[in-house]
Amino acid sequence: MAVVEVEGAHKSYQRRGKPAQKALDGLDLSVAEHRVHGFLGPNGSGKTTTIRALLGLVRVDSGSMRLLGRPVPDQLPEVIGSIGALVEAPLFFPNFSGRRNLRLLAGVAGVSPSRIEECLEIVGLRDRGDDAFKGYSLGMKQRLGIAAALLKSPALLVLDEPSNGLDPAGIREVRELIRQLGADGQTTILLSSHLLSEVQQVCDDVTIIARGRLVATGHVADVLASGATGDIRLRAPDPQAAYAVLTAAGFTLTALADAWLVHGVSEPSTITRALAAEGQYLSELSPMAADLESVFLGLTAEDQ
Amino acid sequence: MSAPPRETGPEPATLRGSLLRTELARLAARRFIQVLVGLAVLGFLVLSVVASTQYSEPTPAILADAQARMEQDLALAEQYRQECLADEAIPESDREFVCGPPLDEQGFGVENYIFKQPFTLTGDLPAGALAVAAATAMLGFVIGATYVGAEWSTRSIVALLFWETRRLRVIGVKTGVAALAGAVLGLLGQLAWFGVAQLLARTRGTTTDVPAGFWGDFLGQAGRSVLLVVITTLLGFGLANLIRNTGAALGIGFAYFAVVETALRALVPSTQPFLLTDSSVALILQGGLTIFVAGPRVDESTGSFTEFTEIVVSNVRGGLTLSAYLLVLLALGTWLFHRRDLH
Repeated sequence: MAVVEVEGAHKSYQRRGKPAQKALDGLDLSVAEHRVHGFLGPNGSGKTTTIRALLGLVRVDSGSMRLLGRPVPDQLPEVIGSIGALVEAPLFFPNFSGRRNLRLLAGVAGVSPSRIEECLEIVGLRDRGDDAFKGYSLGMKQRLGIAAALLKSPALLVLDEPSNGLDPAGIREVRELIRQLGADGQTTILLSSHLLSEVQQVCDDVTIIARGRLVATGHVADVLASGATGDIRLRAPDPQAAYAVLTAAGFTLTALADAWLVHGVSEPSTITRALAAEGQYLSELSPMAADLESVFLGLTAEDQ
Repeated sequence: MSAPPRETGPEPATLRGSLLRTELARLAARRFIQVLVGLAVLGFLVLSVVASTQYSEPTPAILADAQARMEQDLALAEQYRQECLADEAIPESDREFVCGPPLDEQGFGVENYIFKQPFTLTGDLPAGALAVAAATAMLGFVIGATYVGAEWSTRSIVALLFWETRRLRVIGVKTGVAALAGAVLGLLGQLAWFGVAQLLARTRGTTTDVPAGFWGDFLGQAGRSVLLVVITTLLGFGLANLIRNTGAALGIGFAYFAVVETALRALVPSTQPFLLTDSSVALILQGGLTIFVAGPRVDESTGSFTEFTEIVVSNVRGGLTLSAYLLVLLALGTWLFHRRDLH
């Protein structure tokens, strides 16, 4: 079941003295329930515009959007109580403490004070909750933003670049937090990020967009497989003999520093069979898995 | 496949109530507003103490001293008049005119010989209330501007829309809170001055001899003063909401009062009844404001105007003019907030 659905969304920004800038160009997006869904795209590809449109901050020119089964923005007020969001930088009063900032937001929806403490605990800010927001480090600010997004115990959590400005330890903490939230079986997370490793590490599904259009979508593993190269890294006790056997069998090989790279292998067992038939045995056989970065760059480059 | 529609979130009625309470808490918690109000209270207390030193209930000794000095001046004036009447350089037919009529104690007024006047409710209470109204109106403008300006500068108003997505409701509640803040400010200012005035009248003046209808007139003036503070608070709010910046709103306000109004008064005097300051004064002054606009006839030899047009700007007209400006400002800001994309 999809908790976020975008179909054919178009959005252009009018610019004085310049042609209109297309931010969304018929974008489609579907986020399944109780999944952590990565939302990837180069800068300016329309990720934040999509999120802002879903949250009612930006009006799309055409297309339809649904959140938790309700058309938005028309029925957004009816579902906003189940949606937590952190869009780009956290927006708080700098002179107020973290706790007071959360209290002010919680008051709007009647969230209990105990939930504020729970959320501060979740993001590890309980002991610093009474400090002024302006005194927080970037990581603490970001974590407070996540705490605010969690206040409503959301069914859908929208996180736009949550690792922005964080140090490596902070990034790890946030990723761990997202993983935990995603694993609770109650929360759907839409994670917009330019950090491909982040999406690869924490997301179940991914949607890749470029120039406001959908480029690829599906399970992370499937998207990675679609970009697989079919290359195999191979090491043998007798490299030259292995090379001779494989070239004779029709494989194409490239030399690496201490191994061979066999190209265009659809089934790795064909290599072991060919070598074994000639009395050659392997010391290593590693399919070269595509990482999301290469898939992403390949897909978005095609669309540019 | 879509997820089935979920019945989620608190009821709208609950949200409305909570939003109002939250906005009131936001306003009250703003440190800059607390500092402004604190400074205003401090200033009021200091001025009240200073004012208390300017009034005094005259003792018999002071009255006797004043009477003696007045009689001395009266004798001197009469002596001068007699010398004038005896002056042969002045034509006899003109002497009465040139030297003037005989002077008496009423003309001099013994109260003018008392250094510290007693505080009178009839004269000093309404005058002080006008000053308090002007001060609280300016304070209200700044509070209104900073209240919503801070929301824009921190963009917390955008964060609030993640919780209450109905923009008209958000801006409506904020406008209501600003109006309420103005009303409370104006009312507290008038009440505080009334309290101080009562104290001054009892300790350094008189509470008696209040003419019939005085309290009704004073109450009317106080009510209009509160209305003025509400309007200026909303003007500050509306301006800062429109341009989304407290500093710019205050700058525009200052430039308007210091430059635009001065220039219009000098260059296009007929615009005076439509200026914010004149309309404000007209709103709160008992009987409104009478403006004399020079022209169009000019004495060719001196170049000065020989004709003045008298324009009476009533309380109602002053209030309507201010309300018209306010409505345009609020409507424009609200429409933009409702329609614009927010980033």
